[in-house]
Amino acid sequence: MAGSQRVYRARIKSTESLKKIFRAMELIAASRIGRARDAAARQRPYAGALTRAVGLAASHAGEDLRHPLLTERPQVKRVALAVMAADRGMAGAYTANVLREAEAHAAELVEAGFEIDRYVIGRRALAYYDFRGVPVKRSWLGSSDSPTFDMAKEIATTLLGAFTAPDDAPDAVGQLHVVYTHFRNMVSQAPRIVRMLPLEFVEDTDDPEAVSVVTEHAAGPATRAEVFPLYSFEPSPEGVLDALLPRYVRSRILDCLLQAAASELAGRQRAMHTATDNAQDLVRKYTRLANRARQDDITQEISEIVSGADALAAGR
Amino acid sequence: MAERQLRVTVADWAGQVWSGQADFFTAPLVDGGIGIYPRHEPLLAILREGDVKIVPADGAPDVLVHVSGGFLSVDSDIVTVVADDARLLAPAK
Repeated sequence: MAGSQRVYRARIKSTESLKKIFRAMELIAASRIGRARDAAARQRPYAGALTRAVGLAASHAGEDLRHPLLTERPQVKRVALAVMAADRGMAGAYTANVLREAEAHAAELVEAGFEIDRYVIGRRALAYYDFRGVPVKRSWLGSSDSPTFDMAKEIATTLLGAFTAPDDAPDAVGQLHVVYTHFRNMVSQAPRIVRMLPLEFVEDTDDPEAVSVVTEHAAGPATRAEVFPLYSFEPSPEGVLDALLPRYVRSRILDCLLQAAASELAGRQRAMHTATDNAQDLVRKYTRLANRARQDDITQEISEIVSGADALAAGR
Repeated sequence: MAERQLRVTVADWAGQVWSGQADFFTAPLVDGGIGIYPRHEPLLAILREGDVKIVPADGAPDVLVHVSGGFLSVDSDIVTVVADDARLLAPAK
């Protein structure tokens, strides 16, 4: 009787408190997106100058451009796969999309005869691999939505170390692929796979600030609009390149991390917005049901009273 | 002819640390220091840890920026210092 009413009221109450939580998380994600995008924008002058300098140094090194980071290592049949996902869930399909992309890519590589070393950023991704018993070489947890330069540096150092390790070292890799979520804009983010090492291309066509194709500059005359003037190098073109390339990789990794963070937050904001709306719908539905239940109870009571009165009247 | 000045920008990954017009500029390089006046030839150089000194054009006190490595590019009087980590020290006395 009054039982169903009570059940509905309890549901309304709990849904309302959930709604408040969803709403709060939506607002938090929204405010952090701004911060993540600011961080990406602040990094831009640095990355731009670095990219230009790398292009410059590479074009001056000319024909005999040789650098470990630019050289293929066909003899090493192992690929480092860096997967950038989220520390926390509640971001819709964000982590699932990244992982699906990563595993599809990993399957292709295995097919092609490569072994895979997985490097994981984000607790959710680590949990995914742990549950499936897939070995993970190394993981970085705890700051997927606010990556720092230090973290990018550590990741870059580890991965560069693996790439430059001698052929017979246990963790030597011949290539580095990064799977991250590209932040196109607030409504559109898509997982993307980039071959980071050996360095060959920068493709970020949506971003006018990101320029330079490293080996293209080296291979032919500067096909881009700007022709580089004659530079002098301190200590030497090779020395400069030596110092620049690891920094370049680091900056690219930081860029990926920042984009992944912005995408994660955008995904979370969207998911939480939907959850808030759904909670609102549920509250409305339960309110209707509760009202109907109350009306049923009243109707039943009236009919009981009336029939009781009728019975008394008939008995008289 | 108007006197030429350097346009100096010091940036690290977290953003711009200092930028402005300068008369003179010094930086620590891997194999010594370098001083740059306007009309310097185009240059790309690697920095070691140390202090970058900028003599602003407007007569303000010298600016010191501590850098922990990075690189420096000079091109038609545009000086760009890209540091791994740059910290603005109080302007020298």
